[in-house]
Amino acid sequence: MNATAYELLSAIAKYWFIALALFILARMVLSVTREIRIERQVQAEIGQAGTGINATLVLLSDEDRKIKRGKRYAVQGETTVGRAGRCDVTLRAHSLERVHCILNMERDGMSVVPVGRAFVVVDGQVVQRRATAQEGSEIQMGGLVFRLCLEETNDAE
Amino acid sequence: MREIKKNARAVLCAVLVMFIALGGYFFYAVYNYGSRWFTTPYNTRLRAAKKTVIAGDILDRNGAVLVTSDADGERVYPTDRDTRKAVSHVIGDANAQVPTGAETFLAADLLGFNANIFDRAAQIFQQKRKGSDVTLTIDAALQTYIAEVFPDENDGAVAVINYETGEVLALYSSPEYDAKHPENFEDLEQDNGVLLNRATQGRYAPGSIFKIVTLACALENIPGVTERTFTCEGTYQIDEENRLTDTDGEGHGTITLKEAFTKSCNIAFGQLAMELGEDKLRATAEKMGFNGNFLFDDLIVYESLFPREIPDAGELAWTGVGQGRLTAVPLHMAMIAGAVGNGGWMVEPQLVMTVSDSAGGVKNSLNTKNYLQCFSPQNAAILEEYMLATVAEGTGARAAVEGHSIAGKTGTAQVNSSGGRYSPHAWYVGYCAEEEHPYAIAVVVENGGSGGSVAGRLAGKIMKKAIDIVE
Amino acid sequence: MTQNKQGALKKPDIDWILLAMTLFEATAFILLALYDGFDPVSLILAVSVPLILVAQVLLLGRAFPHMDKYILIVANFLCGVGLIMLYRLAPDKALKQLLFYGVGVMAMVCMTFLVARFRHWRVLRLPVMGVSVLLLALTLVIGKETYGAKNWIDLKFFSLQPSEFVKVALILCLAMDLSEKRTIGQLLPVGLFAVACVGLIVLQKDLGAVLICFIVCIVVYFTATSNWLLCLSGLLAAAGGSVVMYKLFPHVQTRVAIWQDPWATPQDGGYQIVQSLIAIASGGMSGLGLGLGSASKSVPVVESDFIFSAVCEEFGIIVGLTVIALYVLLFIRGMLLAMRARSSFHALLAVGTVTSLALQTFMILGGVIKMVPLTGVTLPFISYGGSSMLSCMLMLGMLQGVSIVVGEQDESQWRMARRREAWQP
Repeated sequence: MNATAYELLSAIAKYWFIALALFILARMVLSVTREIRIERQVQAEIGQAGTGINATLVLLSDEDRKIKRGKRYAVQGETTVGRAGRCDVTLRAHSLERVHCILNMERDGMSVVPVGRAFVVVDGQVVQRRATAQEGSEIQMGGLVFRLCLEETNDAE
Repeated sequence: MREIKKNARAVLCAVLVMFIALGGYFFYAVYNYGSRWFTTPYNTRLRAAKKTVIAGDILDRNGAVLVTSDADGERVYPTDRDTRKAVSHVIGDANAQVPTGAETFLAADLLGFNANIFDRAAQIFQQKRKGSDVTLTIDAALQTYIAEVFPDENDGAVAVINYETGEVLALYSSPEYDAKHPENFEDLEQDNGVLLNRATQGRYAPGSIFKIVTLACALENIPGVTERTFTCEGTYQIDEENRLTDTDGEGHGTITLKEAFTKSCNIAFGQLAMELGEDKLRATAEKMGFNGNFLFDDLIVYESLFPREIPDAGELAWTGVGQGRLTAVPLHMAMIAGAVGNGGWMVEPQLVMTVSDSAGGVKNSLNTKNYLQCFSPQNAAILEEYMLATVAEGTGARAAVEGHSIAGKTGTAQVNSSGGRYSPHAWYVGYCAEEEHPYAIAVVVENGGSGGSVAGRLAGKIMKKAIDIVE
Repeated sequence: MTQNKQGALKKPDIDWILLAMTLFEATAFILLALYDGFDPVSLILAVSVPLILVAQVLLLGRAFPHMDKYILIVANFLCGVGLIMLYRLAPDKALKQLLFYGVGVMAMVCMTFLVARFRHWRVLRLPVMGVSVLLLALTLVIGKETYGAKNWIDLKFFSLQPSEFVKVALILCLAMDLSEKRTIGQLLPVGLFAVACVGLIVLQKDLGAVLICFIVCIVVYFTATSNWLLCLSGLLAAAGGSVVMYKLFPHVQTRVAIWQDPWATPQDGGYQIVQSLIAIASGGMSGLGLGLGSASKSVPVVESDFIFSAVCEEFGIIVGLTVIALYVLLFIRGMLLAMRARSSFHALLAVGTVTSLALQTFMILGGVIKMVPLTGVTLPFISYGGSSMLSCMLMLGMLQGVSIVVGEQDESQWRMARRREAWQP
């Protein structure tokens, strides 16, 4: 093919490529923003219905008697429990570490992982690295004792 | 998880900021510097294009051909040696040895890189492609006249612009070279910087023409300064070490500010500079483009420099009268003088008038842009009054053109060199204060002696010629 | 969350985007086929490259409905642009790159599967760490030196750049350990691993990789623990380290000097950047046209580090900016995944991946336009290079895995929410 003819072809084609690229970008931005809006909506619906909550901790007793007995705390997916405000469940109790333990939903129950040397007892056993709590288990963190209530699981259709 | 979510959002924000900065910088850099990058001598595309493309012609504002190409693509210069040499720095050369010349800086047009689709389509049927012709705003006749009257024994530069439209009418730099004989460029360059365009790149001590800036600064910052009087005894002791002296050493006596300006009294302006202080003086100078970064579309102009810091009162006083470590570029000085005539606004200089591609399309490339507001209209009026008086009855008397109202300021810049004391650089900047002839001029004659008698006289001649021949 | 008779949630379709991408790639290769005579190989590419893209969307989209299609098509389109540019610059390298691309897609699928379905990550921890350190150490011994850095292992038919894979390993290990352990004592193994990696790469003098690994470590650690103090002091230490490096090593000083003013040494030190800037400027806003630039002749290492300059010269700055915007979209999607994740392992995985890719992109793009000093890293997905392509694809796989996990959790919880609503009107 003639070199000049190719040059002309390419010089025209460059506008085609620019148009396509801009089209791709515009559609992409449009679709992604719409997708994000849908995702937000899904999150909102889950939050409203409370189906994101996998388990509930019910407070049985508090050493300091500051927090009222029977108070409920929701566990949603991975949840950190501790004294610090940045935890998902914040408990203002002196017997707790800043970040005391990490709770996580697994297939066979709720895993409990103490952070550092935090004092955690599940069903009478002091937890060293990791323990799995079941429906009705008693979990003690510092001076606080909870009972675990697992919610209806996702698989129960 | 809440915590991780929050931190992830923070990281996302950081990433976004990074990329917005990247995109912004990218666009900014290409927009402002793109043409400069493209036209460097290191661009292999230009060299390659010269083999396949016949470069377009460069014409002056009246259509006189300054460079053209023969059938083989070789560059052909005017046969008249005087014209050829007079415009040498504006044109540059074919081998990009003078990288600021139009041959290199406007290469994108000359070699047809900016041609559109239809132009390219038309070129398919041609044997060898042809670039666009570029018409400059330069007046070759005026330029040749400048070369003729400029003293042969001195180096220097002259810039003439239209201060209302920004058109550059003449850019002369001495010594010239002959573009027809590029083989001896290297020897020339080693000798005395022949290839440097002194009108746009020469950095000279400004001398008394800088008093325009000092005066503007005083008008801005000291209320009622025009009513003040100064006592001049020829010398003034600043402190133990520093002394301010007048050129001739005899005092001017008790004078008003206007007289101090027209007689170019160093004592008065040195005192004003000390009163104003370094920061205010620098602020005014930077408002006029000192220490700036000129990114004009048509040509490369170096900016004048005001010192980043001034250590003592002595240097401050000397800076106020244009000595010290100040440097000034001739074209920039012409633009400042023009700003006085243009009600305070400096316009962007324009070198390209039209670009006409080989298919016959003509693109008008003149677009007047206000670049900087140097002075308020009131201060511009006062400056004009003083500069008119300078030519009418002061140091600039020799720059007068009969029948026309000329405003100006002379400068005699002392230069010290390790080899001893040379004669000073002679400076003149000024303009014609008439609507039909809105021309501003800057003249510098290296080691020429007194500004008034050498540069002023030269400027008068050139201005008269410009008024006569430029349309 | 696919179309659901109970809900009105309809996902935006991407058919038009896919069509435009296919057209872009196909026409570009067809155009290149006409360059200098007629080239049938290019026509094969014109079919096969879009095919890989469409096949992935169709097949993977069916197998994993919760895969993030946007990330997938953006990454694949960028690979396509890279292949077009490579085929134009150096056809033989483009064909090799096509092979890497294919292998990369497979690696991505494996990684996706691993992240989405594999639960016993702890088993992998030690082997991954061991192999990474071993590879890096091996590079120091038998490595090959290019451009001042000793970071290649020559395997005859294929050169391996271990630091690329170590990035992936580092992100995995960091996410694994930081998701469960929070105290300094517990983090000692992964900390040592990170220090070993960074240290070994420093010994290889691969500045770009050092910077990426180091900052990824700090960002992931910060995300997991919110420990401002340690992260800031880490960054300060890094800044101090760079100052010391600047003072000690002359080649670092030259790099910085070149960055500040490449025009001072346009023929030697600053040559690369000067030619890169000239190439970008030559293209202008709309480019010179595919095949009409001369970056292949003037810009050194144009097919890997400086490929963006060639893209800008031939496709124009508008397309160049579009490419940057597409990268940003990819990073936004990735980071949103991290914010939706329900377990910190997945969130940290996404954060680490996006940080690594974003940093790499920023460093090389900023380098070729003289915004930051040039560090020899590749442009993810676009640059030529097997190791780079594979590691980017592995990272893409990690993001897709996270997307699948998150999407499935979202969907089941959303279905439950809908059901509850139906029961309690």
